Amino acid sequence: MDSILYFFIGFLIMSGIYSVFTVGLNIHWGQTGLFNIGIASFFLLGAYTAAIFSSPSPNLAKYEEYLWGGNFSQLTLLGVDIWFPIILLLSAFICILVAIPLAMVTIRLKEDYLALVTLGLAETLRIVFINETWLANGTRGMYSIPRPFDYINIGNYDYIYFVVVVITLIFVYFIAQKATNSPWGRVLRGIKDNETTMIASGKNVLKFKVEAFAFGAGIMGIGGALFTHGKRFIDPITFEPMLATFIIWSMLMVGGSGNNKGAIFGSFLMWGIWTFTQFLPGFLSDANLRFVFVGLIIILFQLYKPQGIIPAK
Amino acid sequence: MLKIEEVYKYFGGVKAVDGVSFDISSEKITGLIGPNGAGKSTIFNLITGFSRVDEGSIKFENKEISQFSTQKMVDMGLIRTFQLPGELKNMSVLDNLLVSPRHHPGESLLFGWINSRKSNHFEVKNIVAAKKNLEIVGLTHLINEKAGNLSTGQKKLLELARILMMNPKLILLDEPAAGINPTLINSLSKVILDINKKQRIDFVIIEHNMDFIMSLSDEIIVMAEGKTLFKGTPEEVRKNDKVLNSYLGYSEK
Repeated sequence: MDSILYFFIGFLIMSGIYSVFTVGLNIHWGQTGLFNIGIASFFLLGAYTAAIFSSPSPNLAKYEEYLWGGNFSQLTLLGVDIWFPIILLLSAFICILVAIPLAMVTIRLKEDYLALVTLGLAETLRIVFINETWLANGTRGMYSIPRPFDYINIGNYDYIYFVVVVITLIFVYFIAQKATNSPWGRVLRGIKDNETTMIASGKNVLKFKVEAFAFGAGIMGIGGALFTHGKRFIDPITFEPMLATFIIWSMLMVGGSGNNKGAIFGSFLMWGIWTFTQFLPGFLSDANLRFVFVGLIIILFQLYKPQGIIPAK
Repeated sequence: MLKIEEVYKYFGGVKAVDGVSFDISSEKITGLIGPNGAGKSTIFNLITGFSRVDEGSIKFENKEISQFSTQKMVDMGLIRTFQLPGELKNMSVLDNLLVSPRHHPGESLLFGWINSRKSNHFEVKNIVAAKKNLEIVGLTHLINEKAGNLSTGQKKLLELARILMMNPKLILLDEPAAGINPTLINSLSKVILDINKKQRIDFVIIEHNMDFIMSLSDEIIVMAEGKTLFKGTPEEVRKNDKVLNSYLGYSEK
């Protein structure tokens, strides 16, 4: 019985982490219409930032190849792990730092080209982290990554991390909601509806798009850091496009593009479908076939309910 | 008020605007007519910073503006529309208006949070102005409707209301009467006249609907093949041989 409960908590944790990415993507696509199919790049950057900065220095006896670990996990205040929120913000910051110049160069391009550039960046970063072993141990990956509030002992650590994820998700949802409902978010919706009109109204459309791209990327960075400390192990394979980009797109499309609640709902739903299809009998539980299910759901939604389950207002 | 001097614009070998000069005096509605390809829309693009002049000068209130960005021109009060209605289709009519004014303190990602009081104040002021402007164009009853659900004519009226939110001095309308039914054309005429007389905002209007433009304009500029052909009152334009030849065509007398 306990094992089923643990499994379910694990499922909720992953859904919550994916919700963070989906809220970020909602800023890009649902709100502004930026066609980012390289979510994996910010997922990866956030995740590796968290891993490198929180891990201790490499242990040479274990032939660990990375050069430097920030060892932030030692940073506590009155016994409270304040390093964790610092790591989350740092991951967001690194993503924003990469997103701004990228956006400034590429957002002048038409939508499809932005898609190509983002996809290209995601793959490039993954290959960089495979080959540059001094950075983060290459394909052997970073392991035993510290986790927050590890000293609290209530039998199963997942309960604690579940609370951590929920609190982070509420925080992310709050700032995303605040930003999208602000006059700033209204301009983004205007840009998505009719860019020319917004230019003719004297809006600095380029600036708004860069801001939106950076903001969404920062949220995705937080998601990446959450993922790292939840899984405790990351390697470049983690960031292959299927589970790091496209499933997040399916979550947003099914949940409701342009609506943060829809984004979160879609994440739980699609991660549920992805998770629980592994219990289908026989060949049906084959991983590739499970991706086919995800694709099928996207097609059905595009045909019959293109605005998603919880549509934008 | 607006003075265009010897303006040239080439697209490759095509002389879209080929040495056009005219000026538009204030407190008037000016019609800009001419056959397709005469360079009317290109002139609009040049005046509003959507493309740059190759040669020549454009002066607005005695300031050279031909190298200004669209943002700067909007700040000066030069605002345009396009041939297709530019409504923001997934937003409410009210939001269409509220999103328009420039320099909204809440439209800064970083400082919007800090300036929230200033932003709210600005927003409240805008809502009052928006309601007033919707009344002027007669769309008050549709205030919460999605802009995409409006008819083409209503969308053009909405566009006028949207522009009024930006404190315009000169409004450039590109074929406002295209694709709307005769009844709404009349109310559009009335609204334009009303805005022109009461708020002293000038208009330059490109239009192919001759009844509409002739009745509305104080002055008409005729363009053909990238050049100004004639400038005068509607009556003079109707009688001018060159205009009849190139655009309006003869009728049996």
